[in-house]
Parts: sequence; structure tokens; C-alpha cells
Amino acid sequence: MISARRRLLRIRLLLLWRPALTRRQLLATGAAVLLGFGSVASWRAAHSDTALATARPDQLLSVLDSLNSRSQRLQAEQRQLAVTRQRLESGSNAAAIAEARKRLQVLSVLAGTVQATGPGITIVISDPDRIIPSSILLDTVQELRDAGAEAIQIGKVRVVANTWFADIASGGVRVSGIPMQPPYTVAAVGDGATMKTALGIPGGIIDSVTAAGGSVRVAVGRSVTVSAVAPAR
Amino acid sequence: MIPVLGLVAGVLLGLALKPDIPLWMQPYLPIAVVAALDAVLGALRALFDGAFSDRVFVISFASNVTIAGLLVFLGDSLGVGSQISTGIVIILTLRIFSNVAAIRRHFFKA
Repeated sequence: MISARRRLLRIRLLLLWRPALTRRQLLATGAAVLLGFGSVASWRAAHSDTALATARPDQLLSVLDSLNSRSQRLQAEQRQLAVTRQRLESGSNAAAIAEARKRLQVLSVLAGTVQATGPGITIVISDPDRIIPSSILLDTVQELRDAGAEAIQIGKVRVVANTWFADIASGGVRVSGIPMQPPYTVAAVGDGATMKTALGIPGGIIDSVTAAGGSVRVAVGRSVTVSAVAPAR
Repeated sequence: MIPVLGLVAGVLLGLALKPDIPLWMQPYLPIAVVAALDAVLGALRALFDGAFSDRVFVISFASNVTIAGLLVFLGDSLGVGSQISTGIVIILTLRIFSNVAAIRRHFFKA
């Protein structure tokens, strides 16, 4: 039964394969020619650069939309730059110098090469059992940065981009190589209320320290000074 | 054999003539090609089933291509051209899969 079916299949394949000018073969050939020609033609169409010419109206609309918003953005930027250029050109050198000073001040605070004073918070993390790991101090710094701290110092060390934290085996923490023992004092300049909230979120710094048997005192101040500076390199 | 040669000839013809498809035709041609592919695979399946009829083949080839083109045209006129094109391609692809599966069953019984 199976072999009979196989034989039938083979006969049909042979009939299909054998060249013969039957109507059937001619029709199939015509269809094949059309199919091949059409495939190549549409392949060429798809790979030519007439994509926009053949796009549908809704596609064109979205392209146009994105181009419009892009051009608006660029025009706004252009206006802003033109204003800056005018100020720089007309105001002799004074405006340029003022601009540069402002940038220098901002960048110096960020880089930690100058002192910073302003509204902020002072945090004292006490740890009587000396078991708080350096990771909690790192988390504190991250939390403060996320909350908008502009300058941070821990003990006498200014926290900058390349500050690092490590545990000391006998207890305590090493911050950028300087050993520290609890209680840790952290001063941060920035929006005090926001930073205080950030430290108090459930499962946040205050919760972690309390769970380790320590305590956190946070004082929001109108004028907090971050006096430590990072060594200039 | 002749149909396979015809396919090759069609491809070569397309490569040699470098046809520039008229713009109004460009949305329809790819759909028509997929429809034609479906018709050809359906014919192959019918051949192995022993139910091939050249009349049915010609009619199904022509009607597949025409109906696909008309549907896309209708969709374009109604503003849902891209959706209808997607729908047609999905249906035709499903049919191509089932045709190929039927052909495969003849050879591997699986």
C-alpha cells in the first residue's frame, strides 16, 4: 500500500520533471515566468530609493510629523545659540568672562576642587557595634546624588566621581584610602528636604542602618559647608 | 523541468530588463507575488494529491493575484491600505505554510 503510494508519487514527479509540451507544463511555465519576473521586479522596487514615493499616506504623515518636531527643536536651539552669540559679540569680553566663570564655578563644585556652601543637610550615622558595611555608605552617597546633592563630604573626604569605599576587617570603613570609624558624619549641599526624604524611604538608608543596630540623625540646614576638597590632579 | 526553467528565465528576464515598476503599481506587486507563490504551491500540492486541474490552476492563479491587488486598492482608498496589506500577507503566508506542509507529508509522511 505504502509502496504503491510511493510509486504513484514517483510517477507524478517524473511527469512533472520530464520536458513535454503539454498544456499543463506550458501553463506552469507561464506562471513560473510571471512569478520569477514579478519577484525580481518587486525586489528591485523594494531596494530602490523610491521608498518615500511609494509610501502610504499615513506613513508619510508620521515621517512629516517627526521631521516637523525635529525642525522645531533645532530652530529653538538655533535661537538660543544666536542669543548667546549676540551676547558674547556685543558685550565686549565681560559677558564671555562671566559665562566662563559661571561654568568654572559649577564644574569646580562638581569636580570637588573648591569648597561649597549652601542649603543642605548634615547626617550623623552612629554604629555602636561597628558592623555597618561600606556598601551602606556608598548607598547613602548614591541616594544623596539622586536627590540632587551638588557636593558631598564624608568625614574629611570630599566625595567625587572616583571616590571609593572599602571595609576594614576590624570594623570601620576606608573612604578613598582614609580609614574612618563610626559615627560617620556626612555633609551634603543641595535641596535638604528632598535629600532627607530620599534617606527616609522604606527600605532605604535609615531603615538599613536601624536594622544593623545603628541610628541616623539628619539635620536640614540653611547653610551647610562642604569644606573638604578633592586633591587636584 | 520546463516550469523550473521558466522560473529561472523569469528571474533572468527581470535582471536583464531592469524593469521600472510604475509608481501606481508598486504597492500591489509584492502582494501579487506572494499571491502567485501561494497559487503555485497550491498547484504543486494538488499535483501530488492527484487532483491537479490546469483550468483550476489558471483561474486560481489569476484570481489570487487580482483579488489581492483589488483588496489592497480598496484598502488604500479607504485609508486602511497598510493594515489590509498586512492581513493579506498573513493569510497568504498561512496558506503557503499549509501547502508546503501538505507537500512535505507526501515525501516524508510526517
